[in-house]
Amino acid sequence: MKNRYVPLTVITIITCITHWVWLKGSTILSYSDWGYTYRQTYLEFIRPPTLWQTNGLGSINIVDISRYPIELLSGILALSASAEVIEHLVIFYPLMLLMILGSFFMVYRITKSPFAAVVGSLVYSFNTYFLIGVNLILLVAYALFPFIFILYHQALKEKRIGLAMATGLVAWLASAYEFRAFYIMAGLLFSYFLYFLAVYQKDKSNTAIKHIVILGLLPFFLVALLNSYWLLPLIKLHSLTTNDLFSRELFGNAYMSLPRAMTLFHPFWTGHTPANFVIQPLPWRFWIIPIAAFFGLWLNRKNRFILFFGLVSIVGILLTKQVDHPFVQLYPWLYDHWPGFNAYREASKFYFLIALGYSVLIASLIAWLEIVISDYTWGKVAVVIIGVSISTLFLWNTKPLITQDFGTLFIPRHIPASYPALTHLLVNEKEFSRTLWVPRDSRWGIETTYHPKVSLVDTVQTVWNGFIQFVPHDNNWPEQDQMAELLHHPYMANILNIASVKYVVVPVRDVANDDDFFIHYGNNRDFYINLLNQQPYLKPLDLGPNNELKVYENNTAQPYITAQNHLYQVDSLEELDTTYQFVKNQLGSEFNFTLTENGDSSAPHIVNVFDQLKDAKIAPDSLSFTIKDSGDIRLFTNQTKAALAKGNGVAISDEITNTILSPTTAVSTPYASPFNEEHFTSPHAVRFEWSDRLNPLVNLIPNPSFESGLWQTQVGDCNNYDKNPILGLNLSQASASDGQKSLQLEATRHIACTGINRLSVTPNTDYIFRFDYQGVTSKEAGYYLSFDDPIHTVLTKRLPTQDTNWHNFHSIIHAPAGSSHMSLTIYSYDGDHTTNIITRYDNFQLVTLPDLQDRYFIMSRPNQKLSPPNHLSFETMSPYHKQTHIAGATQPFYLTQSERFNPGWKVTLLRPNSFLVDRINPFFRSVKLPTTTHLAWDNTINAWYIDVPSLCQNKSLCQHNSDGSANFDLSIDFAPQHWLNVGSIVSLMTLFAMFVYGLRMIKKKQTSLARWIKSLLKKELEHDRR
Amino acid sequence: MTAVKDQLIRSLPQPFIKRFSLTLILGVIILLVAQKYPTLQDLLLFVVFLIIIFGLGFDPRLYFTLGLIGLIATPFLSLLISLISVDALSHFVVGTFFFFSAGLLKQLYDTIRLHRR
Repeated sequence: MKNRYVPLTVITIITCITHWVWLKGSTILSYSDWGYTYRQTYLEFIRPPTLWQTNGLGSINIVDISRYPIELLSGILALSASAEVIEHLVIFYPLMLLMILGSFFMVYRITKSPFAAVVGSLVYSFNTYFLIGVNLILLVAYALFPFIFILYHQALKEKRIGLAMATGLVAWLASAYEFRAFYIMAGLLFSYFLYFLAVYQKDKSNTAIKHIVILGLLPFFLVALLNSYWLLPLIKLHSLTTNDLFSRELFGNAYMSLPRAMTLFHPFWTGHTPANFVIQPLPWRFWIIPIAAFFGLWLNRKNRFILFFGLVSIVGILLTKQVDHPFVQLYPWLYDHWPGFNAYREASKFYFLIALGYSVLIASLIAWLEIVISDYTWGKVAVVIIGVSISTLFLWNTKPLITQDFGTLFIPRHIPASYPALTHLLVNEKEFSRTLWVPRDSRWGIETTYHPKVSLVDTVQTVWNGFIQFVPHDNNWPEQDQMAELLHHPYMANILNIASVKYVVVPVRDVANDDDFFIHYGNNRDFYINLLNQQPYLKPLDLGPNNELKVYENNTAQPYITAQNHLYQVDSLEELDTTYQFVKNQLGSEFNFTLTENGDSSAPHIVNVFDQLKDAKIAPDSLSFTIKDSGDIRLFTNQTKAALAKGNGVAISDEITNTILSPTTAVSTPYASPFNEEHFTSPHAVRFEWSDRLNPLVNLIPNPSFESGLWQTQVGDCNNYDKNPILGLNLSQASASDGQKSLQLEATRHIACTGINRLSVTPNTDYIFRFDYQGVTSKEAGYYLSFDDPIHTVLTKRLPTQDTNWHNFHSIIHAPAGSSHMSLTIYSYDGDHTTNIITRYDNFQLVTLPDLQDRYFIMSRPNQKLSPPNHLSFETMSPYHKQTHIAGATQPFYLTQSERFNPGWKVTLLRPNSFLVDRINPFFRSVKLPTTTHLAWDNTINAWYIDVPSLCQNKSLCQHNSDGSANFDLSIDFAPQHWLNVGSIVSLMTLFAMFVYGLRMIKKKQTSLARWIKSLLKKELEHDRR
Repeated sequence: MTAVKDQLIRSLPQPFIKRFSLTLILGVIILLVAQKYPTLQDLLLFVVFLIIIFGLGFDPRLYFTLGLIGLIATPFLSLLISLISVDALSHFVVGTFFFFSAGLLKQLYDTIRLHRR
């Protein structure tokens, strides 16, 4: 095997056989997270990079923005190729060829043995992790690493700037595929640089060290500069390491283990179709892999290359095992503290290090055997037998790929017949609108900038999470219940309208394409169809054959930009249903809201009074609290029977003057009738006091402050998954929020719990439930309330603790119909299984709330008259820049924009008849609206308070009409995009400089590009001969 | 037999008794501290690991050999999983991993030292 071309041909043929399904360019390949992108979507990629992505309700997506070069390439290809061909050219072909060829070249460089290189390349390409992976962009990046490593090593060895620049260029390409993969590679390359300095660098003079350091760091510097188009804005936004993607909980602790990491065995590998999230037994034959690898290490331990790859393997194993022994705290610590490590919420991405290390170590074993025993008559045969046996271990993994038993991305897919009609409908619709997919989006649904897809299950867990009260507990289908709860809210139509959701789709059960995701969300498609059929604002559409795909149209969906004049401030998102009913029925107005914490003072503040009991003082015969509100206040009362009792009632007073504003004498009004309305002015705050001497308030929880001891003498084990709990329960006198003592729960392993059983409750009654909690070493406290009603209602919540102070939890709970008893359990949750997690509780209160809820509302109404302009039109210049023309505006109004609320969005007033530069470049614009006017409309999208009279005070900024109204132009921009533009200039200049340097280098050699490449190849051949 | 014994004694790092005693004392002290401070357990365990590797000063070959023996034995032990507990097997694998890590670190140290000379 003196000629390298024979083994290269062999491995190429092997890859073509194993990946034969990928060879045909027109095949649709899609599975799990690897979706399908339509050509129309690809064509939209031909545009400058944008920081703001319109997917879902809009966001900054760090993965999407860093992939811009690849997306642009795909977009350019889309001008003349189909979506399938683009995927093959950009992903599938590079992956299958670069993976095996790159690893072959790298291993060959190290071992100088073609046969060993073949075995090494098979180890790298056909291990279970790379075969099972569906994140193909990650795998393409990993496929590029061997080339990067070869270039980097040569750059350091030959001390050539050109090679260091080439390393930077290929590394940038890898980062453009998947930045997280590059981050691991960067760590690896930097480690190699330090290793090189320690074991290769002979010249220790200052000049030599300076030279090698510059050379070694140059590729990193170049990658940073080339990526500055997105790194710069994200650094400015402080969202490089803290964003939605990097803020997820650590995941998959149960899947990863030391034996699986050592044997390079993916936990879901079955030998045929992967069993996602089902841990598979480890076949014994996989133990041959580490034995061969470490044998190679043992035999070649004095080879500096081999030693390095041995270290890579060990570090890879250490990280891939995640929280398994040894060093169980290492991964969580890195996840919490190491910058950027929180991009790896599960450790499987580090399998790459093991695959890379093992490919070199196993190849080194073969190379060693070739040198040592090949001289014997049987030696060559033995080497071939050992090499082929090890290769067979990996080639055997590819058997289900060839037979198509593997499924996943190794089987052709077909777009179901129901989808083209929807695609046609959306592509031909020119107005912006969103499509809501219930329960989630199908891979076959088209997504464009003008028609983003919104997955209900994803949005319920993010943007719309505040509207959900339901907490998952023993329920099998928590997401299904959460989605149902959301759609049942009476104000949901408003939310969908303002988010421009024009179509709502229930996808088909796509069993043929292995994509029946309904099994994760209740396994009942009809449930969702019935849910949508109940919504009066949705009209079913007849689309596609047999109407299989359920599509609904929302005719009241609003345009992308609108002018509005009804907004209320609310203090919390709980109990919005009743506030909605009150505003709709009593005030006769549209109900749009923003949270008070946003600080917009222009909207009326509305409070459902008896929902605000957080700081209420509970005495046996009274319940009193203060609502901080001032100014012109309107009080709406619909008094309760409880308030009618003789001598008792609700007293409402101004806190300072103590003037009773509402008589305690009852107004005899039935519950359903309209509210009575009173006006008054409050300078500071309004005080409410409810009193009933005949029916005193009683705390139903015995021994609420633990002054008489514990509720239970033994600690409960509420997660007894094995026989080794380490739990504790005791009274603490170290700290208490009420009295001298508090209850202390401790958990090192399992979950410590205690509680009270069978507290008597009255069905259909509201209770105030409050307690204090302190996280001494814990990050969360938690409670669990269960009722004995027929459906066993449960209320449970985990309460985050950011510090070691005492915190108060309060809630109004409703005893369900049919219940007579309630049980309370409180917890201390274990952590890393070594730290003692201590949580303290104190001062429990469970008090019957009189029938007062939804009967008292106060509204402070600013003296502002709002009115939308006569005319509003807008133009979308790009995803991050819109221009709005307002005509006939006389009064202030709210301008809404259908993008998820982000403080980066800014509104500026354009000068009339301004120059082009003024319109393009926001730095030149005249009037920026203050940030306080920017608010989250319906806690979802962007909105601004446009104070027309104040804005148009400067007559040169608005065009004034004869009727007194004004016309003006507003520009809506995503401001951080400017940093992206600056970064783009840096990236382009770097790319240009590298190009010029490359040309100069070629010119310096006084030869043409072709001759230069030829000389490189010649050099390679000479290297072979040596 | 005597020759083997002599060979073995010669192969031990010198002075072995002193190194062994010091390593043992330091290791035990740190493990006791680790018991008191559970949050630092991993870090202290790593320190003990380093003290053992560099304190005893064995040749990396020894660690690699022990690691390989452990690794070869593991699949056979996993076949006998009904006889031994899963916990015992995983401890065995952890031990194997430690031997390889020790061998690698010691080899790295020796390589760097050799290069600096």
